[in-house]
Amino acid sequence: VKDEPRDSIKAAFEAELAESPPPADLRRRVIDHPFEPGEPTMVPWKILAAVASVLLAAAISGTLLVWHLNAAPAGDRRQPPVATTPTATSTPSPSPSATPSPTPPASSPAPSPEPTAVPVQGSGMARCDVNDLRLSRGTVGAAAGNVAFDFIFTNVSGSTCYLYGFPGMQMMDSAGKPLLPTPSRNGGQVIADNVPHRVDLAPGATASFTVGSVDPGVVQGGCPVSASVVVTPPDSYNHFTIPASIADCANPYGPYISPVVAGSQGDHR
Amino acid sequence: MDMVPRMGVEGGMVVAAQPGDRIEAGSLAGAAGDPRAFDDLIGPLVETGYRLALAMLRDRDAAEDVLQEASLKAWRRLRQLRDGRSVRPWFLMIVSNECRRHRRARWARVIRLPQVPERACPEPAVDGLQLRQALAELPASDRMPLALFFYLDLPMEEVAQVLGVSPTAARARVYRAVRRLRLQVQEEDPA
Repeated sequence: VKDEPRDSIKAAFEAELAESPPPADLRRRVIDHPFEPGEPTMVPWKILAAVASVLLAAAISGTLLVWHLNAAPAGDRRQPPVATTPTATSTPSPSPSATPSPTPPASSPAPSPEPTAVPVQGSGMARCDVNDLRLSRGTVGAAAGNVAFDFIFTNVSGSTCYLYGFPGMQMMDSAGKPLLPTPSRNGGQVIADNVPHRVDLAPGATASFTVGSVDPGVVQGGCPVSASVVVTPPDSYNHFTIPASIADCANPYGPYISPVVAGSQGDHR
Repeated sequence: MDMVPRMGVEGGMVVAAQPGDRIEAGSLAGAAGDPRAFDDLIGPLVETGYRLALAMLRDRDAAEDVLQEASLKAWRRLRQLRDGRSVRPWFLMIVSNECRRHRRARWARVIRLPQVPERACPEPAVDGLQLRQALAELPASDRMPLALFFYLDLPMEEVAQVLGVSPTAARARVYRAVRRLRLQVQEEDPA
């Protein structure tokens, strides 16, 4: 392949990048994601795995003991069950835990000797998706022409899940057509903290985010105002639709969107 | 390439990624489960990953989301990265797979719209504008090899690894994409 078009193609891609530069803290946002506080370490996981393996081995031994008791002739019921098997020792203990197993346990209680990274889902904690959540509107605050709209996620599932990062939002007009621009993640007068933090949501707990915009009356010529908004929880492809009247102006008027924060008070100043 | 001192443990050496470098992974036993080592390994590739994701999706927020997901998957799958295999094409392959997954998603198909530029850019020359438009109209399957080879300057062997094809097939895909790009430019400017 000749390099002839390299410069012009590279320039075209670079121009796209110049229009959508990465956030200054992209590396931290991306790399910190898997290691947010609250992430279980590998030690409890290993302990749990070892305990589960031991319990499984004990259960298998107990099951086999009961099976031998039931299978033996009635007259032999008082005999130690191990005496009926060729591999049994002479230890006449009725306790399953003290009785040598006639067959090896199905699984070894020893976990992998290698250090193991514990993924989020491996820990049993899943991301909250729309099936786990209810979306509702929170307070609306206004000052000096700026308006803050809070939206609240409530965990309506029976188990703890987590949210991390920015929700997606698309504003729609009354005809159901999308409005532009979509909310920006960086800047604005309203958003307090643009840094994502992991939020663990116990059943019934809430998390929230804020959309910052302006009173459309302060913008010369006005701005389109949404009739509803489509909201995707962070890292999800599923969405909610909820009525909301938010001015959708161009920069610098917003709209801006915050990351999800704990509680129902949003992320506004 | 800089050595990462704390990774220089017995049998565990990870070479930090530098932009443009071909990155080799030594024994990754130390990096799996170690957030700092993971940062050393993947952190320098984040911007490259963002460039690829943006080239594929043309949406800043979607590119960031995809990159976060790719980082999470890289963290989970780090153990699958065998010694001696380059980290960069491995990570970029995860990014490209996430881009494809994102594009397949209903949300992306139905709702996603081109973003309004956040900052005013100098008006590009007419030729550049035509090329950009032609590039934007290419399918993602053609933008990908162009981005990998011409934009990210990956050697053809790494392009092949990211695309999951042989180097010969990768070369053919780059050729084909360039040809389609030229046709697209000619269509837009018959003169």
